[in-house]
Amino acid sequence: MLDVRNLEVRYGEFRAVHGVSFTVEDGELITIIGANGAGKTSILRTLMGFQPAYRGTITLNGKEITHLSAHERAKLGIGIAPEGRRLFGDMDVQENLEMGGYLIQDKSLLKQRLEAVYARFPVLKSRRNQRAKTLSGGEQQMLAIGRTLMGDPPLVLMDEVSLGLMPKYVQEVFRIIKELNEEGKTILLVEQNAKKALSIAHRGYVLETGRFRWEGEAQQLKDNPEVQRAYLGG
Amino acid sequence: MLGQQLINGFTIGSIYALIALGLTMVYGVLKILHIAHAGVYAMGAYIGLWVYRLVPNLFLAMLAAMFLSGVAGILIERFLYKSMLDKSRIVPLIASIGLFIAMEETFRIIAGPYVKAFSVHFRQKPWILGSARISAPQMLVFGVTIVLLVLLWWVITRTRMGKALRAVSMDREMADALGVATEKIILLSFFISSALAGAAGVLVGVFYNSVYPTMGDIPAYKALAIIVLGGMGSIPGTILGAFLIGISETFLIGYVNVPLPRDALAFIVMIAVLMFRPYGLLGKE
Repeated sequence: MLDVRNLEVRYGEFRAVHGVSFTVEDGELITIIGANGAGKTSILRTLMGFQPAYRGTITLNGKEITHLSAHERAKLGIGIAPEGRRLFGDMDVQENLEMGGYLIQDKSLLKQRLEAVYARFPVLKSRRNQRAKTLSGGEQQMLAIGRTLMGDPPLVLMDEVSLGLMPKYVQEVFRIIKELNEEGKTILLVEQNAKKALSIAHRGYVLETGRFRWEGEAQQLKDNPEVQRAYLGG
Repeated sequence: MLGQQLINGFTIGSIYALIALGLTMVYGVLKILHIAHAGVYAMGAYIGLWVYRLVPNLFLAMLAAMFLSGVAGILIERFLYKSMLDKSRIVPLIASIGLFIAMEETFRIIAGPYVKAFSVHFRQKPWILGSARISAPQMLVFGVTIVLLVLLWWVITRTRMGKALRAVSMDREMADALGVATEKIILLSFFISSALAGAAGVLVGVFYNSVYPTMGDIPAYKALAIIVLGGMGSIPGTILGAFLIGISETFLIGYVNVPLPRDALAFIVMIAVLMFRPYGLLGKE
């Protein structure tokens, strides 16, 4: 589904990502783990089209999308649950979800999706007329995921979705990611919580200062003593 | 006396609101201070006057002024600001001041440096409410302002495009990722902003029976005071700020013997509010 070749990302002179290559197949749940500042978010931002690729190519379902804008990529079926959630704080819950379904022209389909998201996250339904910024951290994360699901993108990019949540919600978020994948969504998950991420992913990549140090089946990475020492707390 | 001051204050406030709303909307989507907005306002007054002299129909003059001002706004975004968005904020600000001066000079060259009368004969008699009276031009100002504010409110809260506009002003990148063609939405916000300024230009022209090249000078900085007071980028805050400034001006002039020009008062009110609410009335950190 997604094929990334020699992707390099720069901010001015600073090279954040040094030519990484990876693939995400249909239906896979892939994780990129690594420390803060390793370049994980830069990769996702470039995949979504927030950040231009300095070098390399991004191909989605055989079509090169390296130079498309974010809204063009959204139309081709990429959705993002970004770092920091990025909700529209002054809009209410329902308006945030409607923005998630911005590309849907058919009103009844929009309503159907809305009901599906409310069914998955009942707490959002009870807060539908509340401003997004007044929700708790966990509820905001549910809304951010729900907003992404509104557009029903086949490929979902998730950036640090468990960051800053209470342990109860961390469990919940990982459960939902796994569930979405089992329902057929292809997911690329960027995480600092390596243990949890590897426990639900099929395959993983370990990013260190802009390069992949290790890659492979999630179980292999979990069993790798070096990965264990550096990322899994021994 | 009190009632009359209030009516006068609301009249001035209405005009300020129409001008400052555009400034706040542009700030919301692009985070730049669009000083040339006051030039668009003066342009609206000239267009209104010109059309009114061709066809003495105020409604038509207003529509033409709004539409052409809106188009001018789109051209300004497209050909001036668009290329500067990745530069420091000071670059579009200076370009905007430059454009504003150029526009004023263009009005002077085309229409002459003198004040032109925008005389409209109203058949409507003033309404008398106790000791206060609402003149026909005031009714026009209120009527147009109410209609435009309701329309704006409807667009930004009820339509898909309007919601996208709010989303872009809250987080442009995220709106883009959800499929919003943000560049089109920015052009839309320039069109709406500039059309509101054009309407304000016509109202002021008619209300004071005068149109002149530098009529945008005072609104240029007063609108800044208003949007800072209201909380940069906040539409309800700007409306509140505009009426607060309009009413405080009339009251301070009417009741207190302030040894300052009227136009300095906006800044005194702004400073007073910012001491207690540093992000403005409805602004956020």
